[in-house]
Parts: sequence; structure tokens; C-alpha cells
Amino acid sequence: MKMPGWKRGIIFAILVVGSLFMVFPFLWLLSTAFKPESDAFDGHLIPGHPTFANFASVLAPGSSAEVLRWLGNSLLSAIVASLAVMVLDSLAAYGLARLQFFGRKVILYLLIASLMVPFIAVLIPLYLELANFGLLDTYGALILPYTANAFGVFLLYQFYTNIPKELEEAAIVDGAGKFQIWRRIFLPLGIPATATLGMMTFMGVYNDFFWPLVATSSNSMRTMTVGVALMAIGPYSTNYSLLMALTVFSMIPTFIAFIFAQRQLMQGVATTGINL
Amino acid sequence: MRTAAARQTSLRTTERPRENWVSQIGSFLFVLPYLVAFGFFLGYPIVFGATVSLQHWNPMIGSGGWVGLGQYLNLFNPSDLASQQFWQALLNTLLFVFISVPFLVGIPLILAYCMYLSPWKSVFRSAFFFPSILSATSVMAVWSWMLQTEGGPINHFFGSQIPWLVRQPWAWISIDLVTVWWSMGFNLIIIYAGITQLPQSTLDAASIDGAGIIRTFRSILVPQLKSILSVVLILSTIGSFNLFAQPFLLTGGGPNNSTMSVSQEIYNQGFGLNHMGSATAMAFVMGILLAAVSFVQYGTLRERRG
Amino acid sequence: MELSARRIGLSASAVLTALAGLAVYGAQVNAATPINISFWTSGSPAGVTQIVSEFNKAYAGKYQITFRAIPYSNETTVVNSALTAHKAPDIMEESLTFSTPYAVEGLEMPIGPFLKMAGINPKADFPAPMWDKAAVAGVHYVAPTDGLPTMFYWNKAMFKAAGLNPNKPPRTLAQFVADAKKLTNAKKGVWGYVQEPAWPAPFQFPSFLGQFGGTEANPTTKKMMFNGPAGVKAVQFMWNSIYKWHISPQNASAHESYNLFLQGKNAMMMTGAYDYASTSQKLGKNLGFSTLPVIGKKEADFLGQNYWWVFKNPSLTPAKDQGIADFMKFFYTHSLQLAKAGVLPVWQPTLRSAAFKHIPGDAQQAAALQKGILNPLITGWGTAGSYLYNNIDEALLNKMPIKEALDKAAQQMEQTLNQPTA
Repeated sequence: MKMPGWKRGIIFAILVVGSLFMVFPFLWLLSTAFKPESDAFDGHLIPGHPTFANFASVLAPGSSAEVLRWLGNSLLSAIVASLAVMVLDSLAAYGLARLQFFGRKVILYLLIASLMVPFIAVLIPLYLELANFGLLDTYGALILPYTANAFGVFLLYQFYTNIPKELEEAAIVDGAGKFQIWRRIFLPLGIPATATLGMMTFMGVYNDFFWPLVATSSNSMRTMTVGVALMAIGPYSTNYSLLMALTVFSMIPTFIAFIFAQRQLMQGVATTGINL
Repeated sequence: MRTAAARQTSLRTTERPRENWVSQIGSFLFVLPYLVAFGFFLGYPIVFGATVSLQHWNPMIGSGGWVGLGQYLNLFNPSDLASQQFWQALLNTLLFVFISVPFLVGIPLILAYCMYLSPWKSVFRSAFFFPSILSATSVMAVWSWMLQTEGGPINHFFGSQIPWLVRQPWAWISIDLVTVWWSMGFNLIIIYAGITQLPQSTLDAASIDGAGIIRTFRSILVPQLKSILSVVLILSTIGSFNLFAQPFLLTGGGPNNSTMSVSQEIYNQGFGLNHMGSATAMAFVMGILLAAVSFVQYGTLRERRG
Repeated sequence: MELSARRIGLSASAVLTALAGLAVYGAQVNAATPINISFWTSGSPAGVTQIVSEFNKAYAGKYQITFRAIPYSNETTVVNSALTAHKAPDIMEESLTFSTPYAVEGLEMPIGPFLKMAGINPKADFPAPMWDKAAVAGVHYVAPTDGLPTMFYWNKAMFKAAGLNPNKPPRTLAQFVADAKKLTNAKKGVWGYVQEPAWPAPFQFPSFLGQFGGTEANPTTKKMMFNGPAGVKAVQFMWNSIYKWHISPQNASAHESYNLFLQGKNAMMMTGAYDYASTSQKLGKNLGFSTLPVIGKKEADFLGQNYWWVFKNPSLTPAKDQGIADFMKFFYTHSLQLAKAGVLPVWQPTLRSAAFKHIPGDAQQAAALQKGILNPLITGWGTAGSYLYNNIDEALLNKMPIKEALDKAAQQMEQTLNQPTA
């Protein structure tokens, strides 16, 4: 598109100002993580007395923060939960979108209705149930409840209904069964949407606070978010520098995932949005 | 228009000849693993929650007797303080939906168009998307301090004395600002992808016709993107309805409960005052309202889309 | 005879050996399965972690304390969920306000027998303000673990710069206002005092209320009393500092007195002792720290605090009870560890010890402890208290007259607190 230079300039300026607004709070966060606690409110973006002390005390082996263990717990539960969600939801979405069986519609409406129930209404029942199974304070508690989220099924359902029928029919002519059709056609074609679902589940589980807070009790089973809250939100006041150091640390996995999976994620988000 | 869409859907399901029950069971097996998870970790808790809403239920000691629909009826008792607060919180939340959704759709739309017309797309895209990956606690930790009245970096930078978190309407403006900052990137990516998938010729034709940037935006881009914008609109509405972390961690629901969200009100009822029965009833009323709003939105947009 | 005597001796020694073996075996069984006692806290884990690990070492094989810390803002969610699933800890430590509902519902064991087993005399061993009124319907269910009095902080360097004697902090209302006026330079954003219409009002208001001779409520009748003349005077002081004397900025955000104090833009603050560690780290010798000046008629300060109690768990046995009592005793006798970690112990022998008096900042807190006042023990006070502070905030934002705000709060709180469990 041809545009006069000044218009280009304005557009560019809008984007630059917008990006700075987006990045600025993060820079503050980063800078505070490198300040001693007493300098946290000194109002300078560049730390006057830069220090690694916050990171050192967060990572110190003797400190009550078992940061590496928490990180491991968060990563493990987020990765296993997203893999499980991707497989379960893909199978279910294929069944609901492309196959026929008794009660299909009812199931679909049930799933959609469940999207509207706020988590707070199910917190206590879920807790009681896991207590009865003896699953509290285990990886089971940190992983299993996330596999029930109906959003993923709904998302993939929308995606699969838009895959052209001809592909499926060609496979049927070749004598492929339902499972093979899923594995050879829907699974590969659905990769952008499934990957997005996986990524969103990963971030959702990794960043979840409420459920891991309630469902785990021992120090060694805590996740990163709960650990961050415990370490830094002391009973009354807050040590901002330590909190920010821990926050920066806790962001590393999602940050890495963001950098490497950016293209895939954005493509997925985009395709999903278009097909929904 | 709608009938065409409907016919299409019905074709999809009836085209295949009705299958025998063995084959149906085979098909059902695809859904079964997920259904087991759903039943255990969502279905059963929801049913259990529904029974809790029909009782006096104290989380410390369990049931205190059945009251039927008493908890629901009590929400319509105007002299009851908890019901007054519930409706106030619902109004607050609706207000938030009305002021946040236009920004959550409008700003990304404008920025996506700017990005489309500008170099360095991937740099901008990353910058705008980045905050979406942060957890609620880290986002609110940073902002609650950036927005302090006397010593906060923002007032410091502008040399102002704005009571960002202390007085209205600033408290809502702050919450909106933070929400847009936090979750706009997601919508931006969807809309941007939508623009890139439009036939190049439509946008080019407009520029050949000599249509300006703004006219192209208004009369070509927006109508062409209608279906994507409707998705973004519904997702943003549901997200805004579930408002919890922003006021909970930024203003604590203040000043004077004016930013108290429904979710926080339910949380206070259930875990602060130990009235789990009425808290669950509130949660279900909220769920029903949310379902109704999404249904109406989806219906109208589908009609328009066709 | 000799033979048989030897025989008897032999068999006796065999029996003894066998018994000894059994005893060793028994000890090994004990070593393999020590009595597990779970202990959760929403207070500061500082110092407690060390005491727990020392106890576990000292009683290895006999008792094992499993310690868990919970974030302060989510404690009821975690504890109530655990209670519904019968997974409550044996010992719970929270602030007094949160302990009351469990006592009222009959979920707590009376603490007296445990203290007796441990050889603790609460009347002599705890400061009176922390023990006497901490009873529900005349029964003590909880015992204090640590205190957090409301304190007065001042910046000596700013006092010097304003021509004031840095070692002579204000002790009366008149002195406070006069000093604050000298310290304030509104144009430069420098303040004598910063009064937020938000946190830390829950520490300040009960302190001033007590200084003017008022009380918050009557725990038996659940009648609110903070809206009397003393309450109005307390809020009036806070209001005056902003709008009449102009010694405080308007619209300060929560925690702002602290943030500005650290930056040298606020000369005096009145808040919980929890800010001592960071302010003394930043200000060093320039930090002044004492009990509150007398804003009202007499000395008084609100006590933030933690208490612990024993949940009525079915797993309690006499042996476990003894373990709990032993741990409590161990905790108190080692409470100097708390003081070293910056938490104020409430164990009189520790408070009187020479080692304690050498820890900077602690002597002043111990003095404040003796004039301390607690929140009334009413179920739901913590949550319903938000009505009180919402309305005080409205008064301090100058949107509502003080008396009207307090009356409204009293009416709302009475309605909420007298509601049957819903």
C-alpha cells in the first residue's frame, strides 16, 4: 500500500509508544529484582546499588524456598496436563464433531454449559473428592483436575467441523477405520489448534494459583506460583525486591516457551480465532 | 441467512447413514476418556455444588440442613445485606464489562491495522503479546506499586497526583488500564492474523481507488473482519465477567466496595463468612447470567454473520 | 540349691536379655514410627522453621513436627477446605480473629490442659493483655505465640534538618502536630506524617480508639461500640492530619506511609512493628522507634498477633497430646530464636532475659505489648471488619461525615455478625 511518509511516521510512532507502554512495567520489575530491598522505592529505573543478593537468597540451598523443586513441580504438572488435555480433547472433539452416537448433542450442550460455572462453586467439592481418593498433596491433585476443562474440547470441535468432508470420504474409500481417520487426518490437520490448546493449557496450569494453593500442603509439593506468594507475601508487609526476583525467576519457563513457540502459538491462536 | 447456516449444520450430521449400535459404541469410545475426566473433575463437583446451594453449608462443619431454594430466594430479599452486596457486585462487574470490552476489542483492532501497515511487525507483535504470558500475581504486584499516589513511578513520571487506586473514577480506570495491558495481546494476534488472511486484492483495490487509511479501515477492514471480531468480543466478554484478580489485588474491592467483583463477593461469602450455601447459590446465578449473555451475543452475531 | 540358684540366675538373666532385646526392639519400632504432629501457620515462618527443626532433632524418633506455612491472605480457604475433608492440622497458628469461629463451632480443644501438661502458667508466663481477654465464653482455646504491636517510627535525619531534637520524639498530640507541621514541605512532596485512607488503618484506628478510652465491640452481645465519642475522636484525628493540619497528603495509597518513609519523604509513621526490619536496614542510625505518642487520653496500641490452638482431631491420643505439650514448651523456651528473626516473642522469661534486651528494637516492642489491646472475639470479625474500614476510608476521603460513617459501619456489622449461619 502506498502511503505518504508522514502517515507512515504516525503509525510507526503509535506502535513504538504502545510497545514502550507494554514493556515498561516489565523493565521496572526487572530493575527492582536487582535492587536491595531498601532501594525498591527509590524511583530510579537503573538500580543505584545493583545486586544479585535477591536471586542468591531465593536460590540459596538452605533457604526455605525450594525454588528448583517448585519449578520442577510446576513444569511437570503443566507439561503432563497439557499432553493429556491435547490427547483427550482431540479424541473427544473428533468424536463429537464427526461421528454419530447416542447422546452426542446432550454431551455437547453439557460441556458448553459447564464453561459457565465459576471455579469457586466447585472448589470445595473437588477438594473433598480428591481427599476421598487420597490424592491431596500428590501430582495427581496437581494434574488430574485440569484434564476436565471443556474449553479445549469446544475449541477443537469448532476446528474439526471446518475440515472439509472430502478428505474424510477419500480415507473411507481407502478402507480406513475411525481411529485411523483421526490419526491420519484430524490429528495432523489439527496441529495448529491442538498446539495452541497445549500452550494455553501449559500457561494456565503453570500460572494457576488457587488450586495448587489449596490442594498441596507440603513444601516439596508446592508449585512456583504458590511458592512465590508464600515467600514474598509475608504476613503483613512485602519485600518487593525479593518478590520481583522470585517473579522474574518464575517467568523464565513461560518466557522461554514464548520465545521458542511464539510463531507456532500465534499461528495457532490466529487459526483458532478464524475458525471459531 | 440463518436458515442457510442451519441447513449446513444439519446436513453435516444427517448425511452419513444412521449407524448400527456397535458402530455407535465404537464412536462413543472416542469421547469416553474425556467424559471420565469430565465426570470426575467437573461434572460431579458441579452436581455436588448444586446440592450445597440448597443447604445451609458451613465449610468448617459441613451441612447445616436443607433449605430448598431458600438461598436463591434470599438473593432477592432486598433487606438482606449479603443480597444487596451481591447485586451491587454484579452491577460493578457489568460496568467493568461495558467499559473494558470496547477497549479490549477496539485498541487491538487499531493496533493490528497499524502493524499491518508498518515495518518491524514481529518486534511489535512480541512486545504487545508479551504481558499475556504473565501470571496474575506478578502483573498485580508490579502495577499495585506503579500506581501509588504519592511515590508511584507513574505519578512521578508525569509529575501528577492522581489517586489511581484510591478514588473513583480512577480506580476503574486503573483496573481497565491494567486489564488492557495484560490481556490485549491475545486479541491483537487473532485480529492481526485475520487481516493477513483477507484477500490482498480487497485492501489493494481500496488503495487504488484512492481510499485513505481511515476510510479503508472503516468501510473495508471492519466489515470484512466481522466474524473474527465477534469471536474476540465473546471471549473478552466472558473474560471480563470473570473479573477477580485485578480488583482483588489492586484495590481490594475498594474504595468502599465500588470495585468489588461478583467473584470476590462469592469468595468472601464462602470463605470469609463461612456461608458456603449462599456463596454457591450466588455462583450458580452468576453462571446462568453469563450463559444467557453469551447465548444472546452468539445468537445475534451469528445472525449478522450469515 | 546352688545349682538351682545358678539356674534361676541364668534364666533370670536370659529373661532380662530378652526383655532388653524387646526394649531395644520397641525403641526401634518407636524410631521407625515417631508420632507425627502437623503444625500450620499463617504467621511469619521466620524463626519458627529453626525451632521446629531443632525440636525434630531433639525428639528424633519420638515426635515429628510437619510444618506448613500458608499465605496470610488465603488462610481461611486453605484451613476450611482441610477441615471439610477432615485433614485439619493438629496445631494451627493464625491471628486471634480467625481462631474465634473454630472455637464457637466446637472444633478447638481447650488449651488449658495442654499448657498444664507443659508446665506453663499462662497468667505468669504470657503478658496479661495477650492472655486475659483471649477467651470465648470464659474458656481459653488459644495461647499467644508472638506479638506485633503498633509502633511509632520517626526519621531522625529529617528531625535534625527541620531543627527538631532527633532524640526527643513527640509524646503528646500537641507536640505531634507541631513537629509534623515543621517537618512538612508540601510543595516538595515532603510530609510530617502520611495518613492513608486504607492500610494500615486496621492497626491505627483500634489504637487511637483505645487511647480515647473506647472499645470496638462487646463480644457477648455483639453490640458495636466503636461509633461512640471515642471512635469519632479517633477518626477525627486521622481526618485532621489530612484536611485541617495539612501534615499529610490527600488520597495516599495503601502502604504509602511506609514507601515514603523509606524514601525520606515521610518523617513519622504509626503502624505495626512488621516494618521495623526493613526501615532499620534502610535508615540505620537515623531510625527512631518507640511506643505510640498519646493522641488520646492514655497510652494504648493495637496488637497484631498470632495465637495457636489444637484442633479436635480424632487422631489425638494421650501420647500425642503429650507431644503437642512438649512442642509448645520447647517453642516457648526457644522463643529467643523468634526475636532474632525479628518476631516479638510473648514468653515472659524470654522477654525478661538479658539476651532479648540486647536485640535492637525489641525492648520498645515489649513495652508496647504491655499496653496492647486486641480485637473482640466475635465470629466473622475479620470479614465484617471490612465494613468498618470501608466507611472509615469514606470519611478519610472526605466523602462522608465521621459520625455517619461509623454509625453506618456499626449497623452493617451488627447485621452481618448477628446473622445465623447461612
